[in-house]
Amino acid sequence: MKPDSEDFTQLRRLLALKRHEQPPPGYFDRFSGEVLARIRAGDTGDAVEDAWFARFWALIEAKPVFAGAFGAALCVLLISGIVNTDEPDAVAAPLMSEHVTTAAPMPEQPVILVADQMTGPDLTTNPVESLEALFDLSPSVQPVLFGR
Amino acid sequence: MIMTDPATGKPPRNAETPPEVPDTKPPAEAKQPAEEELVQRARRGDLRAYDELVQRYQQRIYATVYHMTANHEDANDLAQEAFIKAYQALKTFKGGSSFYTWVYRIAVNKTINFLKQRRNRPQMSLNDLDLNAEHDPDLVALISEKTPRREVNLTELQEKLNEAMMRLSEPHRLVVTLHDVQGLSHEEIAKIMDCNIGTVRSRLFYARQQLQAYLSDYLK
Repeated sequence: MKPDSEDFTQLRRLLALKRHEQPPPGYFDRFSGEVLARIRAGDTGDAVEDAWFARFWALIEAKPVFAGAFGAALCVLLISGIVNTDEPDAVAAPLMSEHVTTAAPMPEQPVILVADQMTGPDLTTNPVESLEALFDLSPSVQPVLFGR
Repeated sequence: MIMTDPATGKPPRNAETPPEVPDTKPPAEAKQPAEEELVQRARRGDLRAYDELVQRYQQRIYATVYHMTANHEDANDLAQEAFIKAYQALKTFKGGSSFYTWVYRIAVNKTINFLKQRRNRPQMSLNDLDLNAEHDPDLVALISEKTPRREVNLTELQEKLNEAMMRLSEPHRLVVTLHDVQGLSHEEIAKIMDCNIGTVRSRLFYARQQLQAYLSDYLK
């Protein structure tokens, strides 16, 4: 690294221009009074840019890793929300399979599916009701006995 | 006619003399209370003591923030908020550094946070140049027959200089502001920026290189 040298002489001359930039006349005569007035009014010196969301946004902008992590967390939340709303169907499935297994008819007892009795709550989400309707053997139905 | 540097009240210096380092503490005059006494009184709620502190450092704090933002309105808001926040945080000021350095640090952090949020919409609102600018030997030497752009005037130079400054990153702009514009030493800048002196020097060198490239049309 080169030490401070004459290479920057012209630049430093130009930068001297900045010292001549002055605020409007009387500005500093009022400055401290305005500061104290705001302190007396209860101002804490935290403007909008210090609000929590502004700090959070500044963190996201400063570190893309946090932005990615935040986005991934949102996606996980969204997917888990979708999965959880689908869970009643998944819970119902084992019940249905279990019911079918235990209610499986013996070979000697033919299963009669009666169309009349298959009406009813077809659209119900309660599998038990539909299964009862499915395997309900009303007295009016005579099972067919196959000859031996 | 006596020309004076508006920043220091003294005759302007040329570029060969090192920048003047302002006192970090006010002169020990009999009539002016010491900074420590004012801080202690302000801690106990004495707003007149805090008013004295604000008046001592308002010009330097405002100037730093203004040179960083190139916007008078933003500089006004940020400088005021820095002093207000410093007052609210006086109880946490442990006295390890001078009050001046501490407030400087608050103002710088506030300004950098503000600039990061405003990154995509910079707006310059430049202060006017005072009457002494036309007689500053540094500037007279610059706008001479040796300058490539001879027809340039001070207002245009001011605009181009500020545009170039705003192209620097905040840390590089800050170190140029504190050293080359306000005359702080490397040590003082290291305390304000909370980094080591080597970092200050390297940032300063890089920033000057960048500025020289941006402003090549206006420099010899």
